[in-house]
Amino acid sequence: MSRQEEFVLRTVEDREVRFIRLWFTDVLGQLKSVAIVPAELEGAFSEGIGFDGSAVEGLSRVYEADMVLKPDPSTFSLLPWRGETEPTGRMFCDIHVPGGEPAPADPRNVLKRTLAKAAERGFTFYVHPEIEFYLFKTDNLDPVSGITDGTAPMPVDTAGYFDHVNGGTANDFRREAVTMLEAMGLSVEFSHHEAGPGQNEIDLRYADALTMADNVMTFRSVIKEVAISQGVYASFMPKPLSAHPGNGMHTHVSLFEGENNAFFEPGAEYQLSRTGRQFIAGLLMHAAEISAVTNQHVNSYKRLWTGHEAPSYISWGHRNRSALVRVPQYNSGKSSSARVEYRALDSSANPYLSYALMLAAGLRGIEEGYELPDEAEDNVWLLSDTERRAMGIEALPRSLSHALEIMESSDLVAETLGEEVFDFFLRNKRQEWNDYRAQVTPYELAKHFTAM
Amino acid sequence: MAGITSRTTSVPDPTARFLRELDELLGQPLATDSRFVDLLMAAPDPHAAALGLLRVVEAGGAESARLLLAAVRSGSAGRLAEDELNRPLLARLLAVMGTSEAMVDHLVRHPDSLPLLLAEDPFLLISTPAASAASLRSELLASVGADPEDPAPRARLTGDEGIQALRRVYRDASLRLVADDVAAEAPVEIVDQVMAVLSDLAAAALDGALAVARAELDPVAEVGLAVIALGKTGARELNYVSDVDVVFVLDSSANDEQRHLATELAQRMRSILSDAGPEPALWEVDTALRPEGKAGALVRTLSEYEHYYADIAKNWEFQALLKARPVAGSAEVGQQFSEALLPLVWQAASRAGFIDGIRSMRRRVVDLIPAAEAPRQIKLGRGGLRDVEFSAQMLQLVHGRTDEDIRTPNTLVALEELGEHGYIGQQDAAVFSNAYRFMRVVEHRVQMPRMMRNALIPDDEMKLRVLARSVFRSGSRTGARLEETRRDYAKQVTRLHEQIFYRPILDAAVGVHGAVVDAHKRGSSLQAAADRLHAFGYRDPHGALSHIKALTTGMSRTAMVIRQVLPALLDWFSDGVEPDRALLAFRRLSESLSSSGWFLKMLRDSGLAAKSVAEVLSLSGYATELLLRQPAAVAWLDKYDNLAARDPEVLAAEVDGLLKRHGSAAVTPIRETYSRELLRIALRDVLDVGERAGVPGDLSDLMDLAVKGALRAVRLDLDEPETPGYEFVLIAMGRWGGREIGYFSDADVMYVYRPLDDDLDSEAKAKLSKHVSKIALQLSSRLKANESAQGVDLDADLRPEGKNGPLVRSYSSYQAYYAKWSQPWEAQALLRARPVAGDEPLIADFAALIDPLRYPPHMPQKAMTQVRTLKARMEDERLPRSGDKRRHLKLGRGSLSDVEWTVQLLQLEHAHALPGLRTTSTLEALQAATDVGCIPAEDAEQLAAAWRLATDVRSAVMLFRGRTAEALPVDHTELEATARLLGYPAGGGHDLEDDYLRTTRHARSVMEQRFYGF
Repeated sequence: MSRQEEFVLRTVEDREVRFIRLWFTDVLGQLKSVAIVPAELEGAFSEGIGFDGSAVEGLSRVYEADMVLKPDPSTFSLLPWRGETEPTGRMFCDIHVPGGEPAPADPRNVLKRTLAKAAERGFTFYVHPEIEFYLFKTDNLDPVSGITDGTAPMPVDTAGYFDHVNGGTANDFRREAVTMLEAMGLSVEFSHHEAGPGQNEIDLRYADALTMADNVMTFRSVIKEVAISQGVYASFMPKPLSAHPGNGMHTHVSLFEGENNAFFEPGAEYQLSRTGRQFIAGLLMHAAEISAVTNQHVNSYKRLWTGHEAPSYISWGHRNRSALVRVPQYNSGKSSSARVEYRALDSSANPYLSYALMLAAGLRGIEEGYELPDEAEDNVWLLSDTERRAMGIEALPRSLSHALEIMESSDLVAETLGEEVFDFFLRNKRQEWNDYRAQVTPYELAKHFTAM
Repeated sequence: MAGITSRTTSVPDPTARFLRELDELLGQPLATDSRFVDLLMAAPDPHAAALGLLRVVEAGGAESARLLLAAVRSGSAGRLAEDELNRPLLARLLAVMGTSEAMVDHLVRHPDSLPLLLAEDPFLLISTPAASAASLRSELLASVGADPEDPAPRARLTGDEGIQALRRVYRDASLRLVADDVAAEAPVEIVDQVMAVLSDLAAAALDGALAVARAELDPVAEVGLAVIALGKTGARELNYVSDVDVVFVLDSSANDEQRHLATELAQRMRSILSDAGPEPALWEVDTALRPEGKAGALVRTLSEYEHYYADIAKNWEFQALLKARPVAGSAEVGQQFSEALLPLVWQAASRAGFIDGIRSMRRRVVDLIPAAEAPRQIKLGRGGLRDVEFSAQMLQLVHGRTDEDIRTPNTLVALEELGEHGYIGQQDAAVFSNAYRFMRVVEHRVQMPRMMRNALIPDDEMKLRVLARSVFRSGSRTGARLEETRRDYAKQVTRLHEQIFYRPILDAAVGVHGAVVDAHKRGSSLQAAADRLHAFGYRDPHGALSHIKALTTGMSRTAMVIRQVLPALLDWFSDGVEPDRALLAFRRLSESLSSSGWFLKMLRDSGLAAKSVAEVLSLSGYATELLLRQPAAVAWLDKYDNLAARDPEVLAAEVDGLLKRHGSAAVTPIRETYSRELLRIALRDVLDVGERAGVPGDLSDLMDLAVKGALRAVRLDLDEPETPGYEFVLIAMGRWGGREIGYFSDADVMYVYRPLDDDLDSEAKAKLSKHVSKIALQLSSRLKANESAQGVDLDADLRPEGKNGPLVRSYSSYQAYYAKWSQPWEAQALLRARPVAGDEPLIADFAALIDPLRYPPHMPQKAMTQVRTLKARMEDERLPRSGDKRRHLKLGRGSLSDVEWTVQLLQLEHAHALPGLRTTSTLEALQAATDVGCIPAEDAEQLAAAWRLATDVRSAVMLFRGRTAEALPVDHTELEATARLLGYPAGGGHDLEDDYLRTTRHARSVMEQRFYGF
């Protein structure tokens, strides 16, 4: 029994915890949960908890249906919204196959494998996300499931970027959310109203990628819970309102070699080291291949391709808010803050797989010594197609289908996800695309029904 | 001048010169006195001893001469009286001089250290109060003016001054230690104390260095830094010169500034101890065992260590942690480290696969030792120190999980505890302990002369002799004795190393009274034995115990020999994939061979044979079954030459002989020959002797041979004088036609015949037709595999009109049938038609008949589309619905049929124009197509790689489980075994899976482009 495990057992006893939820994530980034009672906890640590993995999306092949959940005691925390009446704890789990090895299709394991590869080269990967989401009124929708009565969802306010809303729902909401996030051990760096009506952004303080991926899963849960408690509905859908900006999850990343930020080099352009430049070059080179994962839904491409500063084109820049990769203003002489911002991700992405692929793309850039193309100084949106082609700026995939076609021939993605996840993901997403294509949309009805 | 002599020998000239000079310096004839010379000549290297003493006295001048004289004699001048010479003291002095040039150098640098060696006491350091860890620490801290009582001592001397003071006092202490060591009558008896003092001295030096660094960098002592020793230092079994393995731990509450400071302290400590300087460096401080190795931060907080060992650390890192011990710096932080992390070792040891992982790593290390050095390696070689340490560690990891009493980092202590608690036999423990002590003494003596890190026995005759004289104080002191003793110990250790885990299990299995795996108060010996088997990979340890019992019970010669060889076999089985199955197979094999004397003799005497038997039994169910049917073939395993492919002509002659002797009854003996050679190929494949790529061809040739012989026998049997004359040919189709079968393939065939007489009447025609049909049926039924023997399953379904067509067609019927054809794609199957047996003229004519069909002058677009559509339909219909289409070996994505259809389409299109493409072999055709540019080399390579891998996997699965495989195994064990058979290292199952899925994915994308034209 490790100290961590003992600590969990003791806390469970001291706080009279009634249930412990074991959390894990399916290949599509959906949080899954199994509840156990404290009496089962010791066994869960030593032997794990068996479950039927075939019921979980992409997790297992039918013949490996028996899977084992092994809770990670270092992720233990109490769920604040369960209160004192029925205290409930939760831990993230690693999924193992019955032979004891990590399950190849566990997204957490995919990320761990990639982090291990980085560690072999001496790198630790840090992540800091800016997560956007919308808050909607519950007048016309079910506050828990979010199903509407058929009318369009209505944002809770009409404010804009950084607006202060007096007595507004959003302020209360963010205060409550931040308190609850902190109670679960997630440090919040920043929170503000975003550009869309009812749209908010909360930035988490940077952490190593595995912790952060766990945090993003926790974050989504917390936000949903707080929304319910406040009578509003929170949505991380990439593009819920066609007229307003989508929910991005801009992701700042950095590599450390021991204590040193490998992206930092004093005196270099933007204080950006050679390693940093190669990492960016890797991200750019493989951006289209990893799109199907970083932007995994049909709806994701509606965020990418309707302006509002979404990064549709593969370019990088310093102050350029239209670029896919941005090197933020370096500040305050803190070498540890040197980082790059990848702006493609949306808030619905599976953080484990997305971080794994971003890291793999960047590492590939370092290993192969990719040359960084010239910086894009103009607003890439305002250029003509011909200008962009002349500058060698390519576009991100225009649809999920397009993204899948590109991913299909990517060895980088196959290697990083492993053949199992790679194959499942392609199949599942092709199905999503086919289902979508079969729809007759309100748009078509409005446009053609009366006209023909 | 007269020569100088001892009472028995005369002193060689150069040495004599030194002695005279020494006398001059001393002002009196001490060194040339025969009693002195006696003592000198007993030193390991008398010449070096004389020179050393001369240098020391020269450096120290009159004062040293005076001290020396005062110590060794009490008289003032003139000749020495008999009782005036302090013989023990002088002997010790000369032994130091004659062993360690490095110590002489130290005394030359510091003549005022000489009195340390001249003290009267029988021991200068060992077993005195000064040898305690606390006292050594005080001594070294005092050397730099630090207060040992201070919880964070700071030095008064800093910089070079501090470094020199520290290093000098360290060496003064090691000088005393060397003196005690070389003067000991039986160095093996004190070697544990020597190791302990060396470890404590290293710890003290670390504290001393920290005190200096602190005074320089952190004078207010705000950083709570602990030094944790790992490896030999941690285990308190350090040798004279070795890297000292440490990690640095910082109080969890440290802020960024303190962390920075702590890193500087650690770096400074390293340079204080290890940088070159006027006073030589002590040893390397090795920090590579820290989290993340050389890439990781030098200093980490306790909570970071906890996180690392909870989440990231690999198995071997826990093994290293087994020897961790706080040795210097903050006692509080060190204590916290021990409490938090050491229990993790035992937790990790309980993980599935942990023990196996550690063992396979050890095997890899042994493989890495340069072969030329191996026999001279004391440490890493076979039966060397590392083997002893490893055995002790393994047993601790297995049983220490439940038994805290045996948890100790120190090898000798561990051996004692393991013996005491019954985990190994007391005698075995003693053998290990003695061997370990002896080898450590040798290692120490190898290092002493120059105080260099070294574990190689010198190959120079002179040096070996000196080494032997320093190891042995009495008796024969030759190099030969040293080598012999060492070899003897190495042999004992090797033998025990292979058996130590299993021998007690044997005893426990048969319930020997007081069986040694009798963990006294900790439950039954049977349970402890089962635990151990389980840890080493036996899934049903109680079942295994009953097999062991059955094999070893009784007083028969068989049982006695098996008791000798079984421990090693059990170990090898556990290296395999399914130890339980291998053990059961071994039981069956030895039961069927128990009366054969040679079998037991071979197992006992031939390491290769025993090991190969173990490997075959644990990796191949197929070869095991064959072996059980013809147990005599076990004898081949004695020498791999026996497994080499037999000369085809010799085999053909054998079949001829069988036909001659047995005539129409020859099919049965031919099948025995076939089975025997099949086994030979399978053994070659399992044991990885020869080229794996040659296996399909070898199997096909063997099948050709058997079918040819059998056809002759059947014709001998059935042909009657009144049978009309006829020619008969058997044509191999499909993979057999391509000479690319596995252990499993059905043999696809077509039969053709032709009457010799063109003008047979219809009755004769009908009779002949019936006759040839009977031949085909008889051939097929006599060759069919059955319960007791291997066979060939002839399958004629590919003949024209399939099952509806006649089994044997006449040549003219083929002519008529083919003439009617309008569909060139139907010729695709003919691409792999290869006549195997029968009459030559018909073979030639048949080839002439089908060549225009299979190599058409023109392949119309419509025909190409037909072939493609047919393939697409097959993909849709033929694959089992339930299966994963990526894993199906024949019809799966990018597997055999994808590659073969692509190649066949190329052949249909181009073989008419390019004769190089006219071959039944897939790979040859692909190569030919590449050579003439029909397909880019890169694409061809992707296709070939997938084809080869799918073929290999098919064979390997068959070898492992003895049944055919449709798909890449999903079962963990089968996958692992398949990977092993294909040469992947242990644990490579998932790598094989990934390789397979990737390779076939690539092949599929080539195929879609080349075959479908997508």
